[in-house]
Amino acid sequence: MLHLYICEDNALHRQQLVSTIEKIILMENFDLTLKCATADPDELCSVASSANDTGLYFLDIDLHAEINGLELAQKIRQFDMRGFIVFVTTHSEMCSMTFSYKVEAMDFIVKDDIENLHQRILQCIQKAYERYSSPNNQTQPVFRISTRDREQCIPYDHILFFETTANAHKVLLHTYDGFMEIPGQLKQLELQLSSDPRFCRCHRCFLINCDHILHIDMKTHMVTLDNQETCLASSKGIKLLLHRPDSP
Amino acid sequence: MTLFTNFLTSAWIPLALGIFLYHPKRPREFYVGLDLIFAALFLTATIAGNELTLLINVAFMALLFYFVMGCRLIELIYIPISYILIVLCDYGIESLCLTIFPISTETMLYEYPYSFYSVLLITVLVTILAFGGRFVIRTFKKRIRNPFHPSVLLLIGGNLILCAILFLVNSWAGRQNGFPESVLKTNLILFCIYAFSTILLSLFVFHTFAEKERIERKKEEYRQLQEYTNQVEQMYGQLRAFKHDYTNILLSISGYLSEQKYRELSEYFYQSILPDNQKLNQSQYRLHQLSHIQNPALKGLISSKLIYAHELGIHVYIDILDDIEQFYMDMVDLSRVIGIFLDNAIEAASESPEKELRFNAVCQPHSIAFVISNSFADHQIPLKKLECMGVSTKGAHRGMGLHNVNTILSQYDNVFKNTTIADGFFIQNLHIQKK
Repeated sequence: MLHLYICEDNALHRQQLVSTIEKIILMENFDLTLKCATADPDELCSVASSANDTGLYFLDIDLHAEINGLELAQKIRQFDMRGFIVFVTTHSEMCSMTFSYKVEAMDFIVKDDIENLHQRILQCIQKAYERYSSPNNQTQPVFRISTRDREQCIPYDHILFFETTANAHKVLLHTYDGFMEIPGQLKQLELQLSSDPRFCRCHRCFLINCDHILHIDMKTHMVTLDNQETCLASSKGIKLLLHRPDSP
Repeated sequence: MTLFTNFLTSAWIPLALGIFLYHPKRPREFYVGLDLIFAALFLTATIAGNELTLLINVAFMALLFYFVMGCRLIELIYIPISYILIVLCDYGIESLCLTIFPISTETMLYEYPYSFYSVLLITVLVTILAFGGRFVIRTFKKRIRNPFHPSVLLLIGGNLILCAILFLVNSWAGRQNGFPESVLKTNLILFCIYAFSTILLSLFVFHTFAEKERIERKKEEYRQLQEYTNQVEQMYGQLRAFKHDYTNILLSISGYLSEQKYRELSEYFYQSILPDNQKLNQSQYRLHQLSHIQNPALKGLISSKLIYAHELGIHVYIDILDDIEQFYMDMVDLSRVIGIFLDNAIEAASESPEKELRFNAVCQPHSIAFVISNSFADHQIPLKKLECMGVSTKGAHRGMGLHNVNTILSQYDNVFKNTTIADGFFIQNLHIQKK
């Protein structure tokens, strides 16, 4: 069940948000409830954390309280990892990039743009609703990259392959959208992923997700993946790839 | 017997080259190339081993390097390096042999057991020194942070080639004279002195060049900071103008209110004030946010590039909320990396229809992040390919930037780069772990 929360210190704006949202829920017949609309961030936190379910949060940035919108969002993230956070702000405060980075905010709504407020809130609710009810939301094996400041979860299915880099302590993780450097070594990753049959260490420098193999060239020992990238395979690696139960 | 010695002798060059150039991602063609080099050397050694065939072999090797083995042009330098190494070992062992055993040069070269064991020893020594040389070059590369400037490399390379040619001439002349022992020894000493002094000279030249570059960089830093101050002063001027207008607006509003002309007030608000407010907020430029970056060099560089982008008509969005005092990596490296990211972003954004560039810097308790995103025109180049040398959306003979970034960042265990495409933006994310 997706719950909606509002935290806005200005009573007039808060009332505006509440009425817009209630209208939208009614009109679009969404399966959502507005659980809490308050000016007090602590109240929102206690209500939301006791609800024990995912929430869609509309937060003002400047709450004129002990903590600001960003800090409130960080608190929310501690108990609601998959919650959807939307910041409601005035144009002059726009700091969408920092907020997206720190708390993975889903969207930003500008208060000043009065005409489009209804439309923007509707879009946010729709987006959150879609993501919440999508099949991907069900648990599937995820690869966690945890640093002390943030944790990234990448479903195994999105991983194309791992590759060594010029630095012995960093490994390159390739997905459809791009590639990222992660700390670690191919050896320990191989161990970590050994339980999943998809991942095959086909070369000293490559650990690939066999589900995404497009084509194996036997002459040059090159493996082409779905995104047209190529990996090398050793002679042993080629044998491993060909002897898999569902090889191409 | 001669077949055996020829076999080992021909193996020296591919052996040395293989050791110098090996890394696990070499394609199969690399090893095929080394085999071909060995075959060519063996062939020429058995048929006719003289300076002319050696020159032909070297040319053959160079062609193989570039077209078959997938080596970069710069790696051709390992050919003269290997040759010098082998000559060193060759002369060294031979002269050692001649001092220990009371034999003539001919006996040593052609008679068993001397020829057999000396060639074996040379092979072993070549292997050891090649590994040693590889290690030295690696450490040298790590300590000299700046990638070598092409003209400096040309100088060093040309020098080494000259060195190699001299030894060709020397060995030819030596052969004509029948290798008297004293000549051999003198040659060895002369060779060592010459090689050593040329290396020192090259290093000195490079050092002077690096100094010059440092001075140029400082000058550029100063210019960028001046530019930054100008921009910020300009913006402050705009703000003062606005404050002035604001007072006038308030006066007008109070005028309408005191006369209770609410309809006129409503008109005034919606037609004059609100549109102006929107115009004011149009620019998300906010260059002043760069003041959070507390390193003048980096701040100057970023501001200079972003000002340039703004002048090109690109919509620049800056978002920096936290103070960043320490960067946990070398500032020159960081500036270079960010500079390359920004150059790429600016070029791509200016080509695109949306022309958007976003710069974001975040400081968190245990890490610092720089996120540079830009709109782009899709050239259908696979993402990883963009990082290869010589690959660029701007045409041929370009594309060193991202390769340089990778070289610089490979030295750091605590710096991570993410490259992604999301929502029509190309995003470079540099993540620095605080140590």
